[in-house]
Amino acid sequence: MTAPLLSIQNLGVAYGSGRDRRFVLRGAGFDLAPGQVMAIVGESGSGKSTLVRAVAGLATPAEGEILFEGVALPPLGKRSKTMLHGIQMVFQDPGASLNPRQSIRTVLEEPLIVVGKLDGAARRRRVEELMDLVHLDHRLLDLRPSALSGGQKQRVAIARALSMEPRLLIADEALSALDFANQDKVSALLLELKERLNLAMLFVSHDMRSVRRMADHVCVIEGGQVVEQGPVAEVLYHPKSAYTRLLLAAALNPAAALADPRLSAALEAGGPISDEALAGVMDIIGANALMQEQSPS
Amino acid sequence: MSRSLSPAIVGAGVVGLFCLAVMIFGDALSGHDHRAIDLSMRLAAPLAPGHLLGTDELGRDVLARLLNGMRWSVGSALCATLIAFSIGTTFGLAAAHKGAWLGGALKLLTTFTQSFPSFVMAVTVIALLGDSGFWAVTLTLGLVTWPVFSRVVYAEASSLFQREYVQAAEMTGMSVARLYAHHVLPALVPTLSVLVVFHFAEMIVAESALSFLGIGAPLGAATWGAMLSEGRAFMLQAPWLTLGPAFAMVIIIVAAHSVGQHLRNLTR
Amino acid sequence: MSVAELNTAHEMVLDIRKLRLETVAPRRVLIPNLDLTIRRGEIVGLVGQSGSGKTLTCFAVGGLVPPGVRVAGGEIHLEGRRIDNLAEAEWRAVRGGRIGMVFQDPLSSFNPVKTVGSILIESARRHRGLDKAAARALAVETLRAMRLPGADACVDAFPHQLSGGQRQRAMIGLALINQPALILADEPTTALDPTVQLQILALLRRQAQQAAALMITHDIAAAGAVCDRIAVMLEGEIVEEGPTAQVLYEPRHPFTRSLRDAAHLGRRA
Repeated sequence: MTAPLLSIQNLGVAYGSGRDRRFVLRGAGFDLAPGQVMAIVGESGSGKSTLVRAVAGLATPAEGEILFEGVALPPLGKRSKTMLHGIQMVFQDPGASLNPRQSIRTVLEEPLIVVGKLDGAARRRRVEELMDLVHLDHRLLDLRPSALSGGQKQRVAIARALSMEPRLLIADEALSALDFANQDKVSALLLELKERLNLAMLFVSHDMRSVRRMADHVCVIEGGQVVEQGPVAEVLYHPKSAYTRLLLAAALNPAAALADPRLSAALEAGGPISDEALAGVMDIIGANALMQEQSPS
Repeated sequence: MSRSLSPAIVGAGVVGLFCLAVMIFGDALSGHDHRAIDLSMRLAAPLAPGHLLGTDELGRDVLARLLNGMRWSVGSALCATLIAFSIGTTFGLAAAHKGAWLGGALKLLTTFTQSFPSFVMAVTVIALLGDSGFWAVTLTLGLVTWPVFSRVVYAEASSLFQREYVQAAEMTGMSVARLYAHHVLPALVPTLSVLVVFHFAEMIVAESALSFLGIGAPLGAATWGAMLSEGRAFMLQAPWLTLGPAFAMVIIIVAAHSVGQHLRNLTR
Repeated sequence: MSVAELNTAHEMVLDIRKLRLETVAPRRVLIPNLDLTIRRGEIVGLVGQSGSGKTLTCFAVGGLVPPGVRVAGGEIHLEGRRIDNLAEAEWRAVRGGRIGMVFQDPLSSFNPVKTVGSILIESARRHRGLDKAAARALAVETLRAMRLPGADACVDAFPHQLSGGQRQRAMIGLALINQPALILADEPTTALDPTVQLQILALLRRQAQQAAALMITHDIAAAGAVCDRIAVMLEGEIVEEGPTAQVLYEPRHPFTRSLRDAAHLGRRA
């Protein structure tokens, strides 16, 4: 058993202060080994983004600890170079994650200048290497982000994150703004990079299809609480929480879910869904045993 | 294509160049000393020999006084804008960058200053100073109106710090100076340039209003506001005394607005 | 006309015949020749990628053809009445009356300064001539039918005070309040979380059966869950059309197959 790269212990994040203080995440905890992918799954507003933003230093924990390579992570401004470079992030909105006033070359070169290890010629070579790494044409380097497609922008954002040679990559809904075809391509790229660079990942998503493709472990968050977590096979094939079951049904076979009269009625009514109404969902999950259907080709 | 030059912006350019010439050459441009009294030529109508725009009740050349008024008004408005811009932008930027307490303090201060009409505030400050003169007026206008800038800069910069590309830049550990120079300030340029131009137009009006009330320029100085105020007594007899400064103000303000409008279109 | 024919004519809610849409200048054909019919009680899915012309078709049916585009040929009939040549004033009676609309983003489709209820009440008063009290009662009843928790409170809530799913429920309520013949739903669940999507699809399916519906979506799995028939659109043309099960599980056109594979659709239920 290798030592964990990232260890989250009893993490809580709150907004507001005094009587107005409200926890958006509480009691989250898990370990992540180097080169492993942890999927963080949940609704919008469930606290899943908050969790990874706390790791990235963009949100401040109210309680608990985040250990990176055995050292407790302070707020962003107080992090050492090793910590900063070790953790990088790819954001949800490809349109907002690149400075519209910079060329792609500048976007990729800037972190290298900040790190300051390479001289001009070496930096240019490194920028081209980074483009190769994410399978982008070098001719794009002199364009502005607005000239790129969503998928290309997201690849540039990945390349920028990789320029710091991180050990942990946070992908916060990095695929959800892309269309189906690009989602598949970018998730394939992330998987390839994970293998090549032994990159650990926090992969935030509510798309069970890409979770199944990407993750080694899954952590499901609902209403600011971790409702279930474990190895991907266990969570996807033997989901325990109602939310996970419903999410799986939605991803695997919405038609079958709506064809189930009890489940359909419960869905139509909204609100919490009883275990009885969800009984049929396990059949859907079983019938579509994920591993048989769609083996990775 | 919005980059083509409209007549309005060409006109504004001409007005700007004219301002510059007046700033540099002053009285030489009209050929008269704006203070020279000639009681034999009182209230001469425009186009009178040697007095293109006529004379006032003391026989002083109206054109010379208008141009001097322009030096005073435009100069004061420019300096006041610059002061408001510098203070406001500095405060706004500082507060936006994680300055939780500074942001709170700024909010309090701007709420406080904006709960009084800035003009009333300026009148009060000048009255308290007990001194009127170019710098008293200019400093007061600048110091009273900077929250306009700080508020806008604070709002825009705060939303920029929520933007993903700025957060990605922060995560590389770059210096605050670099973060501002490369990611924050360039994004603020469009808004700020428009704001500066409109603020300038407002300062022209404010300065003239103070002079009109007799608390801006010192007694006897040729400023547009003072000219309007003095010309009131001769409104029917010598309408050119009031029409001259009024038109001058309108031209400057329209020019400033068309520049602002143009900048706004360019950056959209 | 025989009795059978009359019956068919009556049952036909939407009949699009040889619809042709073009840009005005430069002239470019966007949709060359489109036929589509929807019967009472039927939910038809129009599935395609962005730019396929599916949303444009929906706009044409709703009389909302964007500026620069014109109907260059064909006819659209709603309940036997030709609607593609209506004047804007006549459209206002049809839209919100005989045609109810559901859009992708309910937050931007609702006026943010009006309460959800006031928008429903206004629509009911305009199209049905109800007085204020009756319209309000109808609005509450409609929201309740949309299973909006606390419908009485929601009437007086502003759009931003509701969750995304609640807003979409209210939007469907607005579409249905005047008992329209046809519901146009343009990407009704795209902006929602997966489990909320499922809820809205369940609601939409139940409610749309009272009328008839055209659902525009890029998600063939969502269409498969709700629709009776699916038409697949590619570059302005319908390349495949048929009962849902057939389109999903025995697709004839390679594009349909690629859409289905991209959605990683599960086994046949």
